[in-house]
Amino acid sequence: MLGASGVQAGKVVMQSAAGCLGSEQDRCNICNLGLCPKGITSQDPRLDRRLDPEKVAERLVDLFVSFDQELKKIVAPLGRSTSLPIGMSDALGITDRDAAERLQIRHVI
Amino acid sequence: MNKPTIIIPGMEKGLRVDSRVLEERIQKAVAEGHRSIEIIAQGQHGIGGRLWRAGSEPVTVRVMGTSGQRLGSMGSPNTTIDAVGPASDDVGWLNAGATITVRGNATNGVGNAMAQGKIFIDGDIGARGMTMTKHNPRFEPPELWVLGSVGDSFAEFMAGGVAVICGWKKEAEANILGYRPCTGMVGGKIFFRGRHQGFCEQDVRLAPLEDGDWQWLESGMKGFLAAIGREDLHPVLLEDRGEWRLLVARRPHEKADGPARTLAQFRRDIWEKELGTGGLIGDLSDLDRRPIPVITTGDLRRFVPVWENGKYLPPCQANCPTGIPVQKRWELLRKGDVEGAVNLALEYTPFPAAVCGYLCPNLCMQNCTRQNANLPAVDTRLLGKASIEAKPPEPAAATGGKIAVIGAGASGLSVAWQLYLRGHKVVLHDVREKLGGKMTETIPLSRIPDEVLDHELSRLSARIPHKRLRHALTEEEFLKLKKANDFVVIAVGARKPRIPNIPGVERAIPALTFLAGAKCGDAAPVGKNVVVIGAGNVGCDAAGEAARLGAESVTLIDIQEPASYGAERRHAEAAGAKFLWPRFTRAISEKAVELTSGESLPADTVIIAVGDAPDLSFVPEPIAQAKGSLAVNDRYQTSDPQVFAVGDAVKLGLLTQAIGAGRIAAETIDGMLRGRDQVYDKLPAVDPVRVKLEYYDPRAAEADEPVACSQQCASCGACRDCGLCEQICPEQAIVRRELEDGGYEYAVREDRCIGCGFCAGACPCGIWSLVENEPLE
Repeated sequence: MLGASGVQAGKVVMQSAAGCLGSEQDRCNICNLGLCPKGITSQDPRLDRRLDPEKVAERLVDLFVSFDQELKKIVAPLGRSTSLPIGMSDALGITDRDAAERLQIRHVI
Repeated sequence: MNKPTIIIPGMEKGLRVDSRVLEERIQKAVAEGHRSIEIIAQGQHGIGGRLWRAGSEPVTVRVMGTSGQRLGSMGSPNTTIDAVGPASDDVGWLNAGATITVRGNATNGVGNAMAQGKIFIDGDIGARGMTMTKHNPRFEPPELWVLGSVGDSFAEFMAGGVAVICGWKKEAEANILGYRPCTGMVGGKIFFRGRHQGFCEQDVRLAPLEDGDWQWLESGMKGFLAAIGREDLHPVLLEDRGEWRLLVARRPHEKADGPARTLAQFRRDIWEKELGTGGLIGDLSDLDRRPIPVITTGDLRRFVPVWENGKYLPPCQANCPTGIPVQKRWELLRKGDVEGAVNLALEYTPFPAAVCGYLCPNLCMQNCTRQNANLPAVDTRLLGKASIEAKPPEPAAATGGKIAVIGAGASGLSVAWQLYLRGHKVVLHDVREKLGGKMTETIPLSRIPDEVLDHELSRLSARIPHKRLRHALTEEEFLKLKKANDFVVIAVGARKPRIPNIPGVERAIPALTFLAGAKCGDAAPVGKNVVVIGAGNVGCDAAGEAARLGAESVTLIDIQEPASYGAERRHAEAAGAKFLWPRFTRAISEKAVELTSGESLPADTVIIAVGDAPDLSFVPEPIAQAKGSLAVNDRYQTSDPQVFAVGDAVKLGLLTQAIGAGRIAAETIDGMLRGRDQVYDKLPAVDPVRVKLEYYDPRAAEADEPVACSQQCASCGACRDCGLCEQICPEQAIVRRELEDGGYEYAVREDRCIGCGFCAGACPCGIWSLVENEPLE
């Protein structure tokens, strides 16, 4: 049911990192023609060599590292790290007091 | 008070109890208040887990017999499980607080993802023990105690908790930690005693055993050994503190990973090393994969400019049926070669003045590119009129080829002229004294001054012999002509009027007869009211002449919207002629033309102009005809290869079409006589959008003499050597080169050109074209 277009969190991050010119509102939308000006969806070496996969990877890493940095600012006051947060249900917090009471998780302001 | 111990058997009436049923019975026992339960297990799954119904009251589960998988999975903190034998996979899976003792070995996955509780193993464990365990700081960390050793992938992704591996009786073993322990471990501690073969250095490190750690180990060991009933081992295991070592997860900042490997390094050092050069598709492609910028040069350009000078015909020439290089003439004029410009036409037509200047509807002008920008077409008529002074070129050396041309009208004269220029011996055969056919006979004087036509005809008659026939040609005479000549060209025109089958039609005069009479002055007198049946261009000419000869009212009727246009139509309209359609003639009476509608048009004179057909009575049977005309191929050759046919005898058309047909036929005959294998491919017309008209001032007055006209010509498809491309190229990639033959060309320096297309955008003549580059593979 959900193609790549449906999974925004995955798709947009990849697209943005690759420099895609389209957006939900104003798409360039020629992905299917093999003429992608950024070389993302093209097999023509003159186009696809415009894409530097290493730079894309760097941008992706930068994104998640900065995301992690921000997350740390939130979870560090809760006494937790962001390393492998499997089962850290105690680190759940919510800004909505009622929801916090109902779910019996921490209320954070 | 607690109820006594309940024994729940795993077998019932000789059958094994299902895991689900056994679970229900255990839960029921707890609900009924039993806090001590003994299970005679038969390999049932998940025994002892999820007993939270007892609340904080402790529940003891003793497992006799054979435990199945997931012993104590999701165990509650109040539960103590004691399995008296070994256990299967996933002991304490997702353990949430139970204390689980296994008095024997346990297989894979012990303590997988447990969060709380303790697991005591009186033996060894299999692979993936203590994986993904975690520690919620609100509770005590989960613990796993193993008396012996552990299997492979121990503590993979361990995030919290403590594991203790005592290595009891494993002193002789080289590795008590298994293969690749601690991969991805981020939290928790592992105490071990014994030898090992390494662990994931990137994620964990050996830490010194502090006093606090030692105290914790000492006290914890007491509980473990008590649980498995081996208190006697306490002094043995803890005899030498130096035997114990401690593994802790590295903090993120301690991780020993240097700068990340770049993709390029990965490709070079790992990917291509394993898969060979080019990786997975190395055997299919050896293309360079390195990134390139958007703006590229050379092979990497997506589009490349091409200098297409003379690759396309200008629209004027492409649309001229005669094929006169109109634009070339303007070019010669621009270069100041007035004579050359004028003379050039004679190579293509014997009537550069009469036809181009007067009688032609000038398809060259109708198709002039300038009109796309609402600019007036370059006026070819001026150049045509000026061509009266053209000097004929010298004919080529005589070849001895003999050709008879039957009919000395426009098409016949065109063939004869072309063959004459090519050095062949050509003789015209016509019954009329004067050359020129319809041009001489029927085209009204108002359309063309006599002296122009006479001048051009005399140029022909002075050079080409004319054999006047005494009577219309017969089949026998035609065959004789054919025998005596290499080729015969039939150019008899269409002189047999089509007469519709209507009562009283004998009262009407055929248009050509009327026009011929009107021109030489011996026409029958024209009445007051004239009706012309058929409102084509011949009808219009007849109407104009009728008015000139004194008719007061001229009416043209047609069965459909009249097809007439151009000068003929304008002349008729200027003479006050009325056009009526659709009108169908029923009969022609003494004084009127009766129509099928019942209408009656008063008519003293009726002229029939519904078309003419060629008189082909002399043409022998084997030569194919179609719809009353001669059938020819695209080179105007009939079914008899020795016989060609051109002009109205093939298809009614314009003078210029007849002249063009004559030229093509003559070219073909010439080729055959010289034994050349001719290829007649005509260049395609230039796409008018390529020609830039922004350079021309729309306010400029229309040129009224040829030299001024030549300046207005856009030179479609032919380079004017203006150098604009050279100037405008942002990369200085365009260079002009002199050629050895005295010509020039503009070329592109591939190493500089970026394929921007400025040249194609700026070129006034549409020479430069930006085309897609050749595919790289």
